[in-house]
Amino acid sequence: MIVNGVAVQDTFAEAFGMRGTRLIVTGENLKWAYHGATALTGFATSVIACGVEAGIERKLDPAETPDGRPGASVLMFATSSKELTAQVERRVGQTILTCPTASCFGGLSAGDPIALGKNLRYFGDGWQASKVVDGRRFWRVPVMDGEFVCEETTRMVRAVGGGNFLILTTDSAAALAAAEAAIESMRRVPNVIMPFPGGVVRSGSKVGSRYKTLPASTNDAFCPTLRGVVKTELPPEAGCCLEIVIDGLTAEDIRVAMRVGMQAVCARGREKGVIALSAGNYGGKLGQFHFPLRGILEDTAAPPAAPSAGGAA
Amino acid sequence: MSALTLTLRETLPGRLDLSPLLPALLSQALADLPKLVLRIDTQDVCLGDLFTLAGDDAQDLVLVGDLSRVDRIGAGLAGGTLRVDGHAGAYLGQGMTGGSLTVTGDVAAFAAAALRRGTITIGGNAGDYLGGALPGAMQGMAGGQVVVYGNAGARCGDRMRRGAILVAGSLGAYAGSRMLAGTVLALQGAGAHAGYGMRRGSLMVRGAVAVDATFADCGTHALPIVQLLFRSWRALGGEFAGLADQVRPVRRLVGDRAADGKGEILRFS
Repeated sequence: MIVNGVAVQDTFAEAFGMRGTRLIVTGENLKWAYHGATALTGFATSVIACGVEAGIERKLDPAETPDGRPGASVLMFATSSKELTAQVERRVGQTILTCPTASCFGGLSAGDPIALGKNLRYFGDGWQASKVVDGRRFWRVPVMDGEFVCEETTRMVRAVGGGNFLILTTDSAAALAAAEAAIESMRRVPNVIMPFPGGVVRSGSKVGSRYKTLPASTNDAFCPTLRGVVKTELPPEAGCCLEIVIDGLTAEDIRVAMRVGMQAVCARGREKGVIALSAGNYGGKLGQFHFPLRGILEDTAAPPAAPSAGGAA
Repeated sequence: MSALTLTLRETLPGRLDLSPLLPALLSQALADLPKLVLRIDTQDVCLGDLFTLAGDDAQDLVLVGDLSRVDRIGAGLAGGTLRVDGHAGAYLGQGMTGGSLTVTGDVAAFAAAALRRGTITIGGNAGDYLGGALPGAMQGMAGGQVVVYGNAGARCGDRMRRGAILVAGSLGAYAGSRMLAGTVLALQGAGAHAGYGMRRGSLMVRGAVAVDATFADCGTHALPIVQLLFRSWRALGGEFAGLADQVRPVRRLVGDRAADGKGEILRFS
């Protein structure tokens, strides 16, 4: 399958079941809401060592947030409910509780409740107080700039992590430009995040390594500097490969994001240095979810992203 | 199906206790309703002798007439809607656990006493002990929402445990007395000794309020929780809808320091 000179390889992305939640971070203004949300989602590229994969889903207007202030919606994904619960509490406690003017709310209306401010409230040392508003409990914790307001719980849902595609280009500049175009389009898709720096990852991995303590190592088949010494997957003219990894609340959300991203890459075409699209998988035996590149691109009549387990706020 | 409508035939000679009405609607056929025995003061009287009946939908109940001598209207209401076209007596919606109760006129004392869930809307004024505790009980209203478009009497929210009482007018003396938690809002001031014996909870007052010396002034602040509350009340319309239009800094007075002292009076303009 060739789209605008870009060869879409007959392969699939392999993704895994995860647990996810959405948090709403608000602040006195967008700047401080984003300071909080950025710190909250910092060092959260991969569950391998960060515990959680997280990113800012989108900006929220004051009308969309519970307290009528500007904000950001954040998605967080982990491999288990226990890990997600621990990470939400640790991260919110260290980044939103600490962030001037910031407040934190759950952003899903369905799913299992997990602690958000439920235990963080004890920071108030007895001065904490709660308010139940429309059936949701909010904690008020006195802090040095006023009050930290935090919903008692957020909702956790079954989600999907690890959707991906690889962009093969002639050189690094073409790969960056194509990846940036893809991310710009994909950021408009609801219910997904691309957790890596700028949404893009260069260190795609394969399962296993020559070292017995290392379970994953560099994906040498896509490393351009090794093309002469390994069984390479790179076409002869490809000099660079970048990967975009997607976590979403549902498989359909990931499918939509992959389609939008791949279309943006293909729109740049062969004349802008894009050679092929591929995907990372483990032979199809490890992940519950398969996302075939060609099927997703061809399925233009597919319905838009399925409604997530709940809208923002 | 049309709303089950009970219209009062004539002015009552004494106080009528209407609390048997809702249990009877659950357990009896509608045709037997006129034979339901009620009490006026110490006299037994049949419902059919006091009210004319029309309609058949017991989930949509309407009472018409001057029911200012009818007590315990909507006691134990668990679902559906109940509307009173006129005034209502004491203990309106006592111990309600759900549904929606609306009175177009005034209500007497102890409306919403021991309310658990559901909403009570009062178009006129409310008497004393709105959302208060039943005699002998340690806790008053423990959930739900009460909206009053007129004024409320003394001891509004007495011993209140949870929920919200929103009053477009003013509150009488001892507003929020002995409150345990919850929120009371008044948009036109409150009388003497506001928050007397308050342990926790919030008494939000726009306009004048006399605060006792047992409340500690903690300064003026723009609190996100206030905005969050205001936004949740926008759907109520009227005076309540405009509250969220702007950030309204509140003067936070913490007390009652003669009691547990973790409550607050939030004054704003």
